[in-house]
Amino acid sequence: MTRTAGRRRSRSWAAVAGTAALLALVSACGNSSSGGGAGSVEGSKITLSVQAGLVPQFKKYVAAYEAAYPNRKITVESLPDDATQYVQQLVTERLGNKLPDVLMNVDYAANQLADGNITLDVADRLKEGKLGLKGSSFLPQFLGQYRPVSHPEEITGLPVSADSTTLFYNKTIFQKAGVTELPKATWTWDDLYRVGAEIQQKTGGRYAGLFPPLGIGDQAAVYNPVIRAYGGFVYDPKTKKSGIGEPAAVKAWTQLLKAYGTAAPKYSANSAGLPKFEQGQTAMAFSVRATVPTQKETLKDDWDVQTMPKIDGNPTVGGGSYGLSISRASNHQDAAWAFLAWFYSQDGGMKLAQATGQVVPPTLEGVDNGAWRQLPAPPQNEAAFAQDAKDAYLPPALPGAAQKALTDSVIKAVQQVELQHKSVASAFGDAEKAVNQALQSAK
Amino acid sequence: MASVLDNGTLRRTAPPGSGSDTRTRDRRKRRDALAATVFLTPSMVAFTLFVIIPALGAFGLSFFSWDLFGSPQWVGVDNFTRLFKDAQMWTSLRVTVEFVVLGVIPTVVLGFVLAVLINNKMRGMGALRILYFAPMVASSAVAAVLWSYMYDDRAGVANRVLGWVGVSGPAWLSSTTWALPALTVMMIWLALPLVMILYLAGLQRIPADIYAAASLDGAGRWRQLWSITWPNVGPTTILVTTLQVINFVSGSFEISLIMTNGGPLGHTQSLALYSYQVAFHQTEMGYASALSLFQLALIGLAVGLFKLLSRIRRSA
Repeated sequence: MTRTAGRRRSRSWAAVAGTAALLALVSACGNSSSGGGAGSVEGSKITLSVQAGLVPQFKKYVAAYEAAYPNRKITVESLPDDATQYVQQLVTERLGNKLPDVLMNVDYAANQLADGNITLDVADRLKEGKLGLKGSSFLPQFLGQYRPVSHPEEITGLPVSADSTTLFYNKTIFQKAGVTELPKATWTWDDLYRVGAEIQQKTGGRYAGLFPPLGIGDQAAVYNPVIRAYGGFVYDPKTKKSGIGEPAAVKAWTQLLKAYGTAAPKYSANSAGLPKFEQGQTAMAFSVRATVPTQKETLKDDWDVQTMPKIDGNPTVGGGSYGLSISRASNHQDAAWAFLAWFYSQDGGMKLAQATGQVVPPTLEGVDNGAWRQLPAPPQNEAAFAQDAKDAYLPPALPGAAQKALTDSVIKAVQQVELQHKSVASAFGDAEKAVNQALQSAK
Repeated sequence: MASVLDNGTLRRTAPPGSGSDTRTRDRRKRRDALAATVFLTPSMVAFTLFVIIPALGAFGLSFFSWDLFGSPQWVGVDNFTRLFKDAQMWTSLRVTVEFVVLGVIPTVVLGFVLAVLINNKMRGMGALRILYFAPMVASSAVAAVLWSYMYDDRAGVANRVLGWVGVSGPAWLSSTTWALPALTVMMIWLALPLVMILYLAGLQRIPADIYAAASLDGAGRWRQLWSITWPNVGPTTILVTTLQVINFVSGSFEISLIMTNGGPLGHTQSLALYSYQVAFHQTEMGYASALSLFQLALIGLAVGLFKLLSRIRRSA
């Protein structure tokens, strides 16, 4: 074989292989939208996928379900804990027609999964109250996180827990610093900063007064309600525009950024270096109910919780949730629904979920009278979680890649202010432009 | 008509002994070819499945716009023209070049020096060798997490050590000045063992009598190092440099992803990390494929350049 002929042959082989790979990819995309079906409930075998960290918990729920209904079987599978890999995995499963029947949904990914035909609209089933599961029993703001921005009449997931931000405080550090003023329900952000700075100063920086409210700039559950409390907005679904550079938002950013180097340590872009509440490194931090078992296990100090501080009398509670969805491609949608109906009943999965100490049921009844309120202290002030769950402001997610653009732009703006001393108005003005550009592309 | 060459007459009338030699050589060649096929097939199959086909897929994808969810749309060469207009791509390319410049030269020089030192037959050298090779068994992801803690500005080892000599260290991973050098130091630490092994192999190929002759001529240690050792490990230096350029271009990906996520303010966002973020954060698979191909072309160019250098060196 001559060199030229060899080259020609390898070129044609490359072309054939390339075309084959591409065709396989495109045809896989085409197949992926295949619809599912209702199937039968009794004798069903379904799959349920949740992030790896939740697998042990869900295996317990499934065992209880199978004990109650011996002729229904569920296999629990795991999804990556990392946010990016989690979406990636679901997309890959969709391309290969391997989606589970029930899957874990997360507020930040709900739009993407709905737009990608991965999750099923269950609005009609909830309206009908099929098997006793009604939409009206959920806290509307938490259920609203699973209404796709492109089709707000649809509901593509059910929240598992009403995770709202709450002020956690370490009484032992307060005592060590000689500070007697503990957080109160009437506290403002200025009170929070004043006491945080006092603790940091009196302990010579050995303890942080407060975990930085903005973290490395990624704490959306904190900045969203604060901007709202100042009369601003992060994203307006009506105009499809972001307002993170508007004067009201700039006031909010200024307030949030004030914590670095005063009530909280100086800015660090490395999240591993931030003071951890569970390790007794900070006197105060905003956290959620889901972290309570970890705090109980690792923090030996005396600690409790309080409702979030206010701004001009307005609550500044944010939050988020993960939920459960039925896959649009599932051939056992009725069996999947039957599991969800059992899971959300007070005597079913929700009872077990509350016993873990991680879950505040996302229903009015569950918040006020759930079994979680009877769990042993700490924390003693369980009412703070209940109040914050009701006050929580959960902003609408931005469509498509604009959500990620918002996250990145805010981190960049925070770093420009803290590391390059750019003015707040200018940094967040640029961030707003970047987000609006991403929103424009998302249209 | 049958040729005299066809019936083997020529072979039979060849000088005594050479006929059986040729047959033996042929048999050995066939055996070697068979062994090579058996040993190489599994790796070639895996390489084709997991590298060549996906690379061809990426090449095809670079002519499409695809957000992972919908169907791919043909956009021709738009992704490639966009690449050259993308300011972020140029920033990432600059960061990648900085990684290479700051990382490759110290890795090669340090690797050579350490290999020369541990090549000595001294007592306790075995233990020292193990110590130097230890980073090789560490996964880069685990090492990245550990080094993140070491670089912690409040409680990290780096600033504690500096504190002992009265220096107040910076917030390494939050500093736009120090983040990239900090990551480069960690990558050098990870890369050194392989470089040392390659140099050790190179050093052990230099005949001892050259050094003996040089000693007789009065050449001191430095003179021997500069005039005998360094030129004799030339091919190893070219190989090591090539490998390290590839390592610092593509290996910077997981390190900056874990330690800084490309920050602060994009100061550690290499081209590889940028293409990953475009693919999985912005879900622009077509453009990400174009970026990856661009990176592949740059690596190919660098490898080609080193091959050329090697050829010039050989002919000189």
